[in-house]
Amino acid sequence: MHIPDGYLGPITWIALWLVMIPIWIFAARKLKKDLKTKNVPLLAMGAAFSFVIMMFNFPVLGGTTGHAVGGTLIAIVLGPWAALVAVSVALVIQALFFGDGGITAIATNCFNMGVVLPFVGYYIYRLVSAKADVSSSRHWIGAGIGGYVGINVAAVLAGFELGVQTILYPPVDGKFQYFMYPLSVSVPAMAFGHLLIFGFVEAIVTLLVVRYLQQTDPSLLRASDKAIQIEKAKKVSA
Amino acid sequence: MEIPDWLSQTSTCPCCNIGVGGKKNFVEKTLVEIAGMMERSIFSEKYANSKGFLQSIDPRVKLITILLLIVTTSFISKAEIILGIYALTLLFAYLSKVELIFFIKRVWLFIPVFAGIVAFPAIFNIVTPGEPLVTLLRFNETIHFWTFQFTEISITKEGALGALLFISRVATSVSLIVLLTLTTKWVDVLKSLRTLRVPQIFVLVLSMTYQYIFLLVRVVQEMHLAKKSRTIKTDMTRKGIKKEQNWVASRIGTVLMKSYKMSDEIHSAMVSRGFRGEIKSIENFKIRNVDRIWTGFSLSLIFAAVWLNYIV
Repeated sequence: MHIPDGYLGPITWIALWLVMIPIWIFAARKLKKDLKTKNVPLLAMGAAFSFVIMMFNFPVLGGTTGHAVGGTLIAIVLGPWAALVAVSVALVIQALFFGDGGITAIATNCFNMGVVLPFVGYYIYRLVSAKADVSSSRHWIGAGIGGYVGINVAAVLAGFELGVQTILYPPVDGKFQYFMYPLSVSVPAMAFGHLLIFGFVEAIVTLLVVRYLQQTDPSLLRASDKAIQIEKAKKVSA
Repeated sequence: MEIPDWLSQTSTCPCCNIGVGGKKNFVEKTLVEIAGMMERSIFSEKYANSKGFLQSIDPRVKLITILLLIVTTSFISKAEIILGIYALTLLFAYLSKVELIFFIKRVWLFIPVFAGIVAFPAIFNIVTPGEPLVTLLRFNETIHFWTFQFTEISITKEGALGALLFISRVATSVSLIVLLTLTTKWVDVLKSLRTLRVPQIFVLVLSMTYQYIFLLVRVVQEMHLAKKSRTIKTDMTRKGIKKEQNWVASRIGTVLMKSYKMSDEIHSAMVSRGFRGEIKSIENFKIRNVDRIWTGFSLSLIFAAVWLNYIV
């Protein structure tokens, strides 16, 4: 889902930079207020983790492997705003040093995988696991559904951003300018792979890791609860 | 000391599937990927430390000019101009003492090759109608397939030119960024982000992340090596796969727990050394004449490219 340079025309990537810059500024202010000095090491480790999770090859039937993006998992443990910054930082490092994802497309990739994926996944998880005990099965069920839906929404969005190029930049002299397939091809193509394969990999990884955390260190799952309680308490006092 | 031949030879191991070519399982795949990533980052620092042309340019100037060139490449719609910029990246790679074969391989493998696969169906008239160059198949009736309809299958001039533009734009963008990171130490790249008004906090998180990635990757590598050295044969049945999936998930969970704990410890270490949330960094970059010449050159290159594209 990492869109490289040259796939998107300037209108699309400039628009997404304009969307992302205020989101990043808001996230940075919010985290600084909530976490004080703790935010720097926590975000750095979160970003390093979100980079490393993609290195884990996950065995699927038939000897094939896939890997998870982990956006939902990070949002469950660190909260969605921290996940946004952590995933963005990991994506910037991938684009700069490992050539994975484009420079002009950084904002687009951060929007798909850093904003949409963790927020959708996280709120579905919250919805399913609301008020459930930490050891409850609703936590891992919610995590699995959140991971599955989150990655699919992000993939369809990426398909839309790619497919809309043929409308924004119609062929000049019959020659296509940027990504060449229309929405009717790009959206189903992205949705197909994710609905059938990558979505399940993401769901199973998120689910199994949450279940593992429930058994070994449930305090990590309560961490985001605490942040929300603090938030609520602040709202009440304000 | 020289290594005797018999020691450097690899022998196949008949009793197990370790290191014996063929289909790799997920443990080996992960190890190979990690080794590749480590190698790439070590190689980058190797070129950044040699004394070439781009290495002598101030990192801030280099970062800004190369980013501007990538943005320009995105706006340009004539393949000739983009290929011209690509040729210049090869020239500057050569002047910066980067081995050309390594540079080309590093750029082309994966992303532009993938772009080629993506663009391949678009050279046919089904996606891009136009003047046929080579006709492969002709049908007697109009065929409807998905959202397409066609009476023949042929490679069109428009399709081929479009694919050329697409692939050259992708390859040139990748070349430019690879050129930047190969010839600049990552510490300097990150420090230079400050001149782009990226908030200090992001730059600090970025540089800490980059360091801790290698620590966590080492942890992951050790987990997989430990697993590999204890594995005789991977169980490929449904039950076996399920067990392996649980293993991967538990390792991801462990890395997550480890990094969470570590962030606590790092925080204490930072606070005990005087960290209050504000960071001051020493910037010892200096603009010299070579930087002014390079800036002048790249700006005129950008103007020339835009002029040739839009006005001529």
